[in-house]
Amino acid sequence: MVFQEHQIRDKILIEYKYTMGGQSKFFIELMNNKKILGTKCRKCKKVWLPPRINCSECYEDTDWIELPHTGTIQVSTIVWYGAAAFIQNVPYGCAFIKLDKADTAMFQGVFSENLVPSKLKKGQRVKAVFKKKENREGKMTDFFFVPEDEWERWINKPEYEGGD
Amino acid sequence: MAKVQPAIISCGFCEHASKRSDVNMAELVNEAVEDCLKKAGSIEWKDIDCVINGNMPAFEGANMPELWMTDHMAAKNKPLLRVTTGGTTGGSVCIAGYYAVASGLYDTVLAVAFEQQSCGNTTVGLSSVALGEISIFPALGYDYDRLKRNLGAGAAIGIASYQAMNYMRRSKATEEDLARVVVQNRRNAAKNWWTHLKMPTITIDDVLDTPYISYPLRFGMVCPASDGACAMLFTTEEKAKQIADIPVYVNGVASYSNETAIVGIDCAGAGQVDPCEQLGAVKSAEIAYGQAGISFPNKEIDYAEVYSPFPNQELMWVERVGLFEENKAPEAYRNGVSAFNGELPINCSGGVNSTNAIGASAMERPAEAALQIMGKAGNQVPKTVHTALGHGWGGAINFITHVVMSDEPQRKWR
Ligand SMILES: [Zn+2]
Repeated sequence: MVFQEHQIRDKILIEYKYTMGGQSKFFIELMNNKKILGTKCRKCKKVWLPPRINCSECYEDTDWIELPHTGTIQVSTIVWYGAAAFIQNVPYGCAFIKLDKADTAMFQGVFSENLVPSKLKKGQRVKAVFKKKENREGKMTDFFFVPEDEWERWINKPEYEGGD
Repeated sequence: MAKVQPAIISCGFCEHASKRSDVNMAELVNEAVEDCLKKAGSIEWKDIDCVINGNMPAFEGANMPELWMTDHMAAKNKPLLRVTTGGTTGGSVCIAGYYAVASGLYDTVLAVAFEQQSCGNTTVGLSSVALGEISIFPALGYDYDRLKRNLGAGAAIGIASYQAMNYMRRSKATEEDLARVVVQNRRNAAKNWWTHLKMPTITIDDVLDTPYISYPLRFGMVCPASDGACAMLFTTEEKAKQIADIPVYVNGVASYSNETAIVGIDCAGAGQVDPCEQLGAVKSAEIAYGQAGISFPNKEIDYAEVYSPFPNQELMWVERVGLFEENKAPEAYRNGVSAFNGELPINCSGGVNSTNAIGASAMERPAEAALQIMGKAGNQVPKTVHTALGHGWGGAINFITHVVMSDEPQRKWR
């Protein structure tokens, strides 16, 4: 007997609503006021970004603090291929960035007028650029980083603006 | 037999609700862990040697959530194991906590189970979880939409209604008997701080006034979908004696399953035809009681928490696990035997019928049973509880977990 393959195709649509819980304030302040908020441990004073409501070193509560929009790249890559949502943006940089008053690094996109590895190397100073208010949705894609010396030019583009 | 005698010294919960959007998944778990540690005497985060974690796979679309919440449950730089076995996840996580101590590998073990159902779509999650068992349907040419309809009104009620039909046929239980179970559970839940559906004044008529979802089960009989978490702390007999006023010794655990009876074709459960027979539960109970040296569960067990999202299941389980004679549970419930102040109180926490954060539910049963022995339950029964049972159910109506515990260690003659 000859084996005949047969498939029945199906599609399942699933809607997820990831609640941000105690981290919600980070996204709301980002969206409404272009603020980047971290949290500071009441005991050991470690500053967490991304923020955590409890310190992971000593399990104490933390308090919200506003962080500067400048920082340094810790490690980076340049992406040349991506998922459908991002493909129109390639090439783009991705980096772990430590903001100036934070003790931990945050993963975020980095754009540059001249996107070459030497522009995104460890220690490169970067500064945050935000989407215009009407386009901000309370997501990480509401902002990105650019090399500090390009910042003035990026925030003068019609679709972007700088923080206060 | 256990190398080391494990004991439960603390159980913690977070407040359960349909939407806990004030916390994310890791923070939800953290609440239960903090509650558990707060009640654990001198034990601190640093004293925990190993962490076991689990929830349903695919419900919230967060894979490997144990990595996300590592820092939220004291697991940093410690052995961490994830266990997930469908509806019995919480029971399996609890049993894994027992094994970790019983094996002699770790002294103090934190077991954590949770679910934040509001983030995802439980029905879709359930279908993919049970795919192995219901995969026969697509093979018969059903698409997903028809599959949902075929199993009932979606989710677990579809299979529970078949179970209810057969149970009612066997035992002559009426719809009123089912409603009575709901009333008992929800009135109990109203007295327990962490539960979801608190209905202190609900009556049998109220329940029977609601529309059918899938005959004979009505809207008012169905468990809610909850966000919640539960944590349990296990340690050795020696340490438990130093730390806890009343250590709860875990003397028997078992995890058995039999085939499903949803479709009975091919790979999907040809082994049985009656979904309320539940040989897995019978076997599981037998093994756990055997380990604990219990010969007459109906006489020796003082309190039980059984996993019953639907009221017919509570009547069925208490029979299958040997607490009541077959088909006699409805009568016992009518006579108040299972009530808060009855001879054998059942589900005084409010049960799964009042609160169902699925991954946590099968842990909340042994956790609440342990608290009744300690005298620290939210809805503490008036009678003294020496020996108790925590039962879990899941899979496609066929996975069973059992945890038998007592205020005395395992009998030495074994
Ligand atoms: Zn700290």
